[in-house]
Amino acid sequence: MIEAEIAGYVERRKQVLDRVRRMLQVSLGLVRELDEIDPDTSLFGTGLGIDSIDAVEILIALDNELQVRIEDPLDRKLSLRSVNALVDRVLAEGAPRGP
Amino acid sequence: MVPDAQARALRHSAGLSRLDHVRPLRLRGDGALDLLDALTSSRLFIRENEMLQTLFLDQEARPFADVLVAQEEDAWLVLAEGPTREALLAHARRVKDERFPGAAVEIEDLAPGHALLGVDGPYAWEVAAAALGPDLLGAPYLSFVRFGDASCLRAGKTGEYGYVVLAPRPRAEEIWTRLLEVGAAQGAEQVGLEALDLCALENWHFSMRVLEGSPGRALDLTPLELQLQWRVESQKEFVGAEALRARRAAGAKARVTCFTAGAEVQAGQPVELGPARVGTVLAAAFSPLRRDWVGWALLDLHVAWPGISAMTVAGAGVPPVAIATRTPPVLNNRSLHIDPHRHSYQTRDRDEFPPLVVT
Repeated sequence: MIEAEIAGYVERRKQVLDRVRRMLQVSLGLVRELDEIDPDTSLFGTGLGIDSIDAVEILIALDNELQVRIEDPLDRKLSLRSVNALVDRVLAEGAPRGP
Repeated sequence: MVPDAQARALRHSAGLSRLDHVRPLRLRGDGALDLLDALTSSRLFIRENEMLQTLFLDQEARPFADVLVAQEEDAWLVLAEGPTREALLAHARRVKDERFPGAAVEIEDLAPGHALLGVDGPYAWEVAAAALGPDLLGAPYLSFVRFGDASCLRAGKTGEYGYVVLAPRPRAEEIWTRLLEVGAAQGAEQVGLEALDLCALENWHFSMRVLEGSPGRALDLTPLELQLQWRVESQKEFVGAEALRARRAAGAKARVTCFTAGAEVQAGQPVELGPARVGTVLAAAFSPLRRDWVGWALLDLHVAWPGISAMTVAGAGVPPVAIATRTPPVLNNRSLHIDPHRHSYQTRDRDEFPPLVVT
């Protein structure tokens, strides 16, 4: 039973990760395959090395493509820490957490 | 176990460290760029006074060294963690001889005459600037500033403001003394490698020490499993590129994932889901600020995702310990909210910050 719950959660997470990766690929012009963008890669600093302009692009794309609008400045900082942080933020809009 | 005072200093003020485990090299001369390009897994695109976080891999695509490369005026500076000085030099010389036998590359081992110091923490910028000069305040991440014969690199693996000072030994001792003097008024503490490694675990910064234990060495990990593909340029030929392409074609079977636990877990212990083994703990340490255990585990792909609380770590003779996989970092670093133009260690009690611990 628990394995089935995990499988369902992971499937949902994979779908969101795929959409977030595509959004980042387009927004940042990344010349990488989607599966080369590891889920825990940070966005600022090391990792994808985005700057504040890139961050705005991501927030706009998140709103346009995933219908997730992040208004709160603290929420924005935390949601833009990594690829998985963005996935968490999208999942928090409606999907349940894992078992 | 990391002393509370050291963990607290790194997360609330500043930690001062001697980075004797980092091996500094300088490459110069015709062919130096080609050699460095063959050694590093990333695209080697950096401007003068900028740095790049990258890897040296071995022929099997396993990390051989965790590397910072900086471009100086007429040379390349390499700061490598992992191998011994002798092994690092032998690796660089072997690649040079195999791939560029005629190149006039000078590989200078800076370790005998130089020392490396670290300053990390949310107010590290204040300590470093007071000790070295205000030019540091405007230095962006992964850049460096020269102070005479010393270089100060804006880097670090704690998730906080971080500075690495490289200087000839007599000058390094002067700077160390100055850092201790300035730091005393800033709540700074001398911190050890164990404390820095804990911060790296909490903040998802790769450290070669994760691989140095017996499980790490035995598990044959490459950047694919370690989530370090951002440090790999797949179109480039470098040492280990062929093996990495083969691993990628075969598909990774597992991925390193961050977790927290309410009781002690240790590197090498198996991770289980029900009766099935699904992974191995690579590294774990008690976090004095979180008051729980933070670790990284190599997990089978079907469970290598944050947000799963159904797994346990099994130990001989002790009850299983439940773990919760997480999206790192597991701390809300104060440095994320501190602006050197608005904040100061002296006004810290009046400044408002979000809670440090991510629940």
